[in-house]
Amino acid sequence: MRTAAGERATFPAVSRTRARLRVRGEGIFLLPAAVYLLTLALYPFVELVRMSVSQVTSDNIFSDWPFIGLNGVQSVAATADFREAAANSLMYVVLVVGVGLAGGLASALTLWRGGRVGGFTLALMVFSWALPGLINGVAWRFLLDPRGMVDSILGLFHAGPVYWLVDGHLPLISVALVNAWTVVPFATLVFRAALLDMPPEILAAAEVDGARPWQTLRYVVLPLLRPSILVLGVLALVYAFKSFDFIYVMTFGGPGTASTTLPFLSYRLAFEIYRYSQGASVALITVAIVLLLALLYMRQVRREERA
Amino acid sequence: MSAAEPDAELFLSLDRSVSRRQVLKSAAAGAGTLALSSGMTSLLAACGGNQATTTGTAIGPDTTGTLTVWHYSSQQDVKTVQDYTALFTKKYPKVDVKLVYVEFSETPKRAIAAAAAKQGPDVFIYGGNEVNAMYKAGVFKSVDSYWQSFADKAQFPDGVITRFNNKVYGVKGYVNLTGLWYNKNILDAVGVQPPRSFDEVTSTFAKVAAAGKVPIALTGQPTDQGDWTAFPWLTGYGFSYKNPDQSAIEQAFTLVNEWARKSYLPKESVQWGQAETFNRWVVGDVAFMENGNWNIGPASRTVGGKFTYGTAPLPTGPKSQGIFLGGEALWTGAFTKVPGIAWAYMQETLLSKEGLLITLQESGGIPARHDMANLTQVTSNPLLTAYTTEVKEHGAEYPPEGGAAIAAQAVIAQNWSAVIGGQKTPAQAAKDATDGVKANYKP
Amino acid sequence: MSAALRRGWVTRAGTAALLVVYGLPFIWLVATSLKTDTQIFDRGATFIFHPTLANYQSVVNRDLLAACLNSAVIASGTTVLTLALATPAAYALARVKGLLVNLGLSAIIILQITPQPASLIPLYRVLGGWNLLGSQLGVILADTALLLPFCILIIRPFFLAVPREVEEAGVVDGASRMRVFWQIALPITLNGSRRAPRSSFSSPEVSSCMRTPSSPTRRSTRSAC
Repeated sequence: MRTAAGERATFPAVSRTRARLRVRGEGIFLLPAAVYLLTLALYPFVELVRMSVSQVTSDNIFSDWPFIGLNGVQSVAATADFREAAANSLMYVVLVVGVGLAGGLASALTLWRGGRVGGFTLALMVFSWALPGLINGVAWRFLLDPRGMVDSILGLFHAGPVYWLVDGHLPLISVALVNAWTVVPFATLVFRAALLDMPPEILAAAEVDGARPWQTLRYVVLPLLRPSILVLGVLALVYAFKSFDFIYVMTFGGPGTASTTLPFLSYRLAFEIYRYSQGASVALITVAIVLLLALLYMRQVRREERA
Repeated sequence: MSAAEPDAELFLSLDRSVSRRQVLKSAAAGAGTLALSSGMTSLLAACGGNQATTTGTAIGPDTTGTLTVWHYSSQQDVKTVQDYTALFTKKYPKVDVKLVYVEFSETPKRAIAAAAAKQGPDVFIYGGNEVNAMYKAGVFKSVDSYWQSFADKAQFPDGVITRFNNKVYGVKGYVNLTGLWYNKNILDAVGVQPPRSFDEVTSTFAKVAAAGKVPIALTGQPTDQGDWTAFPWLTGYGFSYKNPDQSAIEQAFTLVNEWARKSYLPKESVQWGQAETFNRWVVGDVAFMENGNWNIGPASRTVGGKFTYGTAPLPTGPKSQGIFLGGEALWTGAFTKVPGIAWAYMQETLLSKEGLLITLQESGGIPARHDMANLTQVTSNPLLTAYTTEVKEHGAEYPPEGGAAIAAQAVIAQNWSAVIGGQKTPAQAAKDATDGVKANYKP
Repeated sequence: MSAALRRGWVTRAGTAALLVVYGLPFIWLVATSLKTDTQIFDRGATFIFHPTLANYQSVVNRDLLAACLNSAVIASGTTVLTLALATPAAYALARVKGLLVNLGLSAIIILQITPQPASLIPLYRVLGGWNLLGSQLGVILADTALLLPFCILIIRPFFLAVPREVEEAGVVDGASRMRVFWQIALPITLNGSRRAPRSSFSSPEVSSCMRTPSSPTRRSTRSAC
């Protein structure tokens, strides 16, 4: 493991034999979780891979699966539905990660000093984050209705009702923003912890040097927050690509397929028209995309850290 | 990033059939998703355990045996099943009937899994759309030989019979279907009647809109409920899954797209299932809604005296219209050891007049038998007349093509939703729909 | 920090905005729950109306109570099972090095990336094979499988922060591995909040996982994740 200063963490001075014995010994603690995950997570994942290279629909899900290689994956990736879902996923992820992180940073900078009102606001935000996605989705579906909160407020200013979950590209954007709304509290907590870890001397030094607030922010605070931004970025990326609950509850991928993302397409293929192998293929492609993006991201991070 | 990441309960408790009266119950309740069962543990052990019965074809009051029946009626609805089962037990008192609850969306999977192990119940009471998959997995046994010698078979319209390979497999005795509900107060105030043909519809809606009311509420979701709602309009112009006529689809889509654009139909309907459509209509400012007979009870409870209402047959189009007949069908399990008793059960319960009177009175199901259309119990409720007329004249099999068109139905539903929401023009949606149906349904 | 950013009007405005964005939805929902259907659709009754408890009355029934019970059972069951499996696993992954561990961690990360519908399609078969569909236990098992990787990743930094010297002292004194885990390492992680930032509100596990390595206030020079 490396520290930011680049030194290798040194191991305590213990004899090699003892270290090796200790190492092997503690492996046992891994056993219960490993067995559990092998059975209920890894094995199903392997089945998922197998499903995507076979032809599986509801009539043969419990019997034999004829092997068709990558044909199934290729054919589903070539459909217009898949392309649309991929484009929607991309837009969705950009919004959730972008708004989530930017909002989290802004909130952290606003609330990190504490105080009673600040503490209460943070508690309120964390409460929203802690609610299950389905509940938030149902609530916001109602809030975005023409008779809901947002349009009623717009009505006060004589602005016409906006059909947030119906018109044009708005459904996807609205659901993404609601998702981002639930991500912001988590990002706030992380950034806030990092801010609290900041040595006060640095801020004082910047002030003494005559830095204006936004300069302090840009040249002192942000670089210190960089590791948090990077970690949150990866987490948010993975989470946003996986996100399903909000779409399911708020628009069901619609109208038509306007807000269908890759996970939703996977669900629809498997559970609405029972083409399990196609649903599995879409899911695997999603995993591959995210893995690739995450790896590229990490490589970029490591490069920058070494530079 | 959400604290409660996975929602396993969500998938494992999905229940989206349109023959169920309340859809998205768990999501709408918002009190957290329900676990898989509504409290009852499932009895898979009951699957396939039939004792030997008296052999020979004659079945009478001395016949003994066990009959396992799978159903998905919830605790509120199971009384209906028990009541019509009692009709069978009265005639065959020595047969032990075991009613086994299997949750709706699990039934196909369980049945297919059991069939793989060469097991299964004697009778299924099932009205979902996976019947094709179940048939292909060998879950059902044909009742064709019994049906052909069934005295009353002429009383049942074609739309309630599911055939595979030209043999009769499943039969529905009662059906649930959509019709046109109307708010009489609004109609009288505006001075219109329920439109009877497609030509009259838009002008009727225009008059209602001019009077400041909402003309029509219907389901625009891109789901099987949306597909149900779209079917009468599409078929009225000549569409069928076997023969997806693009111009027919385009005409139907143009109609509904116009309603959405002119706000005759609220655009939020793209999010409505049949339950939400009903809730919107009940508010009292909506003139018409396309919805089902299962609302008869709820309407009297929630509307009460707020306004007078009635039902009418859906407006018909230039071609022969079809309206999906939902409802539960009876099937015989492939691994039953007592097919004769299973058929007797079917005959005495949901194929008999007494049984259908029970389902009519207790769950509002419309009896499909022609000879029941004139019974006082049916004629005395004016709300039922529209539905019985529709059953007779326009009843269409559900799921269409024995369930083989599921993927094609999804395409129709998506495009229906897209023209209401405005994402696609009727022409574009019709083209996509035609291509999609052709690609996804090959008879 | 300069005066403008300290409790200044920017902070106040920001806090107010956050209160609106996160508070108003709840207020709206509560208000709506006190309206009848007609009032919801009546534009005149949007902000001022006669509240009613009828909705609550019609919703609180046996079904709701059964659902609450189910949620309680499933949530507690999942929590207990997940913690029981994740804690020792996190300990092992904090102490053991090598290829197997890296493979394990990578597998966990891949599992985390898989979208929910995908994980559930094959899980359905597995649970179906064990006759667990339709039971609370089935849901508990499925939830635990989905939460376990995440929990292991979250708990691991706590064990990384336990000084090895203390454990070795235990070994020297003759404690078995189990005792070292149960009576030395675990209690230290439970007290780990000593290392958490000053404010009582931040979640300790998040902050320890996301600690910036360059902060000189930290005693250890190891990055936590």
